[in-house]
Amino acid sequence: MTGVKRIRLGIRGKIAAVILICMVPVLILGGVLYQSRDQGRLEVVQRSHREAARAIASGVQMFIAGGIEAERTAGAAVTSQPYPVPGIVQLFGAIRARDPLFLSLVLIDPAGGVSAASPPAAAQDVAADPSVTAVQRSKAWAAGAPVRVGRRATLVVSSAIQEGGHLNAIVAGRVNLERLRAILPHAPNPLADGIIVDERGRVIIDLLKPDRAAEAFQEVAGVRQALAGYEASIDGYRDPGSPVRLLGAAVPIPDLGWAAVITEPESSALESARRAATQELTFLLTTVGIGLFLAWVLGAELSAPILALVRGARAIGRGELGTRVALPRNDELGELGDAFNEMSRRLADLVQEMSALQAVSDAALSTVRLDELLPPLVHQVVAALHADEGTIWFVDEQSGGLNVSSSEPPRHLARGQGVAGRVAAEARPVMISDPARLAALDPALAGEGAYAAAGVPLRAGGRVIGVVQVTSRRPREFTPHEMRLLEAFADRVALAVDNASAYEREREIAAIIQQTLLPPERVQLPSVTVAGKYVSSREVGGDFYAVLPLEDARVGLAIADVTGKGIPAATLSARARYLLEAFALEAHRPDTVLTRLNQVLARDADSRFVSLFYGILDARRGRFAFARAGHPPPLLVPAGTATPVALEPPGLLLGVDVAATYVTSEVSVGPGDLLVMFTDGITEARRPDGQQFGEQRVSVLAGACAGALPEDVVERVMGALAAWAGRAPADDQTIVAVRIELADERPVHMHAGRASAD
Amino acid sequence: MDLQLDVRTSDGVTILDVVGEVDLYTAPRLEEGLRQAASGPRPLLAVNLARVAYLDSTALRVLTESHKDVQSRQGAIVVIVTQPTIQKIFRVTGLGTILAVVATEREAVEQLRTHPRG
Repeated sequence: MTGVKRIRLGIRGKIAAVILICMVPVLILGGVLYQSRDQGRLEVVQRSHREAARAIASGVQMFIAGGIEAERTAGAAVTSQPYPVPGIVQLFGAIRARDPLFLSLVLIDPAGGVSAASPPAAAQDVAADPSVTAVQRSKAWAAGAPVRVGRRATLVVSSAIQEGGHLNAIVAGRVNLERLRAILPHAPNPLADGIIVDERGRVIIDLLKPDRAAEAFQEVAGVRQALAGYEASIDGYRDPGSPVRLLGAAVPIPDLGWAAVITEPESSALESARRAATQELTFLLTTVGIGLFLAWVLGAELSAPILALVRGARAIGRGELGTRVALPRNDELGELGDAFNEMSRRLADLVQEMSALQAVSDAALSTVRLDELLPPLVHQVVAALHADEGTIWFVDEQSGGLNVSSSEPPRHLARGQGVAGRVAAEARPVMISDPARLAALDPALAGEGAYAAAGVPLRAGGRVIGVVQVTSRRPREFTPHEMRLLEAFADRVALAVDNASAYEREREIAAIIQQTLLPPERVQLPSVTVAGKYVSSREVGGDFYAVLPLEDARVGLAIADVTGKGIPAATLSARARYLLEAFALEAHRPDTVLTRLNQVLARDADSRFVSLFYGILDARRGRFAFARAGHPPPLLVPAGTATPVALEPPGLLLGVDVAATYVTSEVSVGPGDLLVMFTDGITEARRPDGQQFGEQRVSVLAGACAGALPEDVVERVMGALAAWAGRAPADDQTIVAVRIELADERPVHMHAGRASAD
Repeated sequence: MDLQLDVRTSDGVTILDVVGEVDLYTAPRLEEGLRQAASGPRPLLAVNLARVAYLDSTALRVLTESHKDVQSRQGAIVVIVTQPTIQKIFRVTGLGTILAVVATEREAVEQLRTHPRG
């Protein structure tokens, strides 16, 4: 724990952060530039002012040149051949009409005399202009001083019309300078003003403020400098009475000696510069924004599949094997997704294979019956191999063929027939992936729609006892890995089969032993009628009961339960049963019989216990003497009553303590009395909710049976018990009902017949 | 059909708490639990069956064997039984005369602490 909280950035955040970090210097630079722009801005403004002024200057030059060109053309036209004066006037009039540049146009002879004028009234005014004199003095052209005519600024431009190297004539025209307003280029922005001043600095044309005083710029340093022939900036000029500080530039207009001036209020100039800078900054910020947006999109592009993979990995972690992620992409992440899905699928397969094998191993160790055990195992191996059908064949010992006993109807293959027959005959795995070959070898399988099949032998004790076979309904190969898996499966199935049959054999033997110990279900003696029922549990326990005819018409009655199950319990049962009979014939007291029996059993190395109740009925004397060794107390229901009496003298289980002693109790009995003996398999039989049947229920049932036939008593108790706990007992259940009959002197004999079912 | 075993000590007495059902299938685990709890030269062990729902004859055999084994090492085993059905098993089988069966843990600990040495 560092105590420093780490900030978690997703991929998107990181990319954005990187781009942001890269942008920082750009932003800082932009900010610095923006801040330092006031200086630069001024330069920009001045530069633009000069350009605008130059444009105006050249516009003026072009304007004058246009006028000169027109004069020369007209002059050449009228002097190249004799031209009548009215024609000249008419021509000049037409020129003026077409081009309002000229307010008047005059043809002057080289001596200065007016040859023709349009309009005629303008003749003297124009002819007297200094520019005419300048041309007479061999100038190619000349412009006079600007003069206001009415509200219009005008100027006389004179051009020499030469022929053969000497002056032939002069064309002079008063030019309307106001026309400049229409043709001059516009100032950089609406607040900027363009001004033309003459060689003395007087305003000739002011594009924005026609009323500006003519002398307004005479003293402006920049203007003076321009008139001196140099471009200059104007900085800080104010119109008289105006607080507005103007910036601007002045450039000379060559040939004319004039200057073109641009002025603009400082605030407007700086504002436009700032606007330009703001545009730059906006552009910069937009670029950064687009960068971040792209980072976000790219991050999403990268992080979405990674998050999908993370979710997939978590799902696998939760045990959802086979989870797939959908990454339909062509890049490395798409490959990662494919690899993930492949891993997930293999993991699921592997776990399925392992659990299939584990299930078989578990089953092999369990004591479940084979016909219950195999179908789910087959199902599992079929799923693990992605096959469609699975069959376990067993070799028929007699015919050497193969059987599937659990299928309906039973299936059979002759020796060597079909895929399974070949596996059994050759005792090795067989795999067929060619449908044609399969159809040839095993038409039955092909007829069921199988396209591929694999089989491995089931081996036990070095012999092939059967075949595990799987088939597929689509063309496929079974890989070497899958064949090994099938073999591993077969090994375990063989083990399970071995265990199960060993267990079945043991169970059968135990059941046979147990059956031999039991008397017939109904025993009829002169003194007693005995009905008994023994229901074995699956594992076969060690219950038995006995009816032993003794001397003097006495009858020994016994019921016992040996701890444990199977053959060990059955053999001890047998031993206890015959020892009991031997001791019963010798000894006359039940406690003596039990004491001797206990001494023998307690000395056994096998430390199993036996609970036993033994009584001797002397019907003629109406006495019943009994002793009990840890057995559930039998119930005596005297004739004519419904209240059973528990016969419960103290006494330890047999086989626990070699020194144990027993007690004989005695009760009077008479004809019609009912004795009910049972084992704890009856009283401890449990309902699904776990509640035991209990002595109390047996007692109530017995009490209700007073006077009934012994077999009916047995039937009623067992019926109630089956309703209570079902018909598959967890422990052996034994019940014996004894009815005491009239005593007589007839010789003793047994009826060895089965009790009727009802 | 589950069995849980837990060993703890109280006043020099080892107490084995048995919870669940003891039958043919779980008895081997009880046997192993008893063997471990009663290791040492002179084991004084209380087997607490107060929370046992079901006990069959196999369990009785395991308890009796363990009792004999502990006795041969001058130790003692006391069984704590509170449920009438289980108490009845000890009465019917007569094992209550061989094994010391008490109804509370306090009685079990007292009885074991006064167990004569040697």
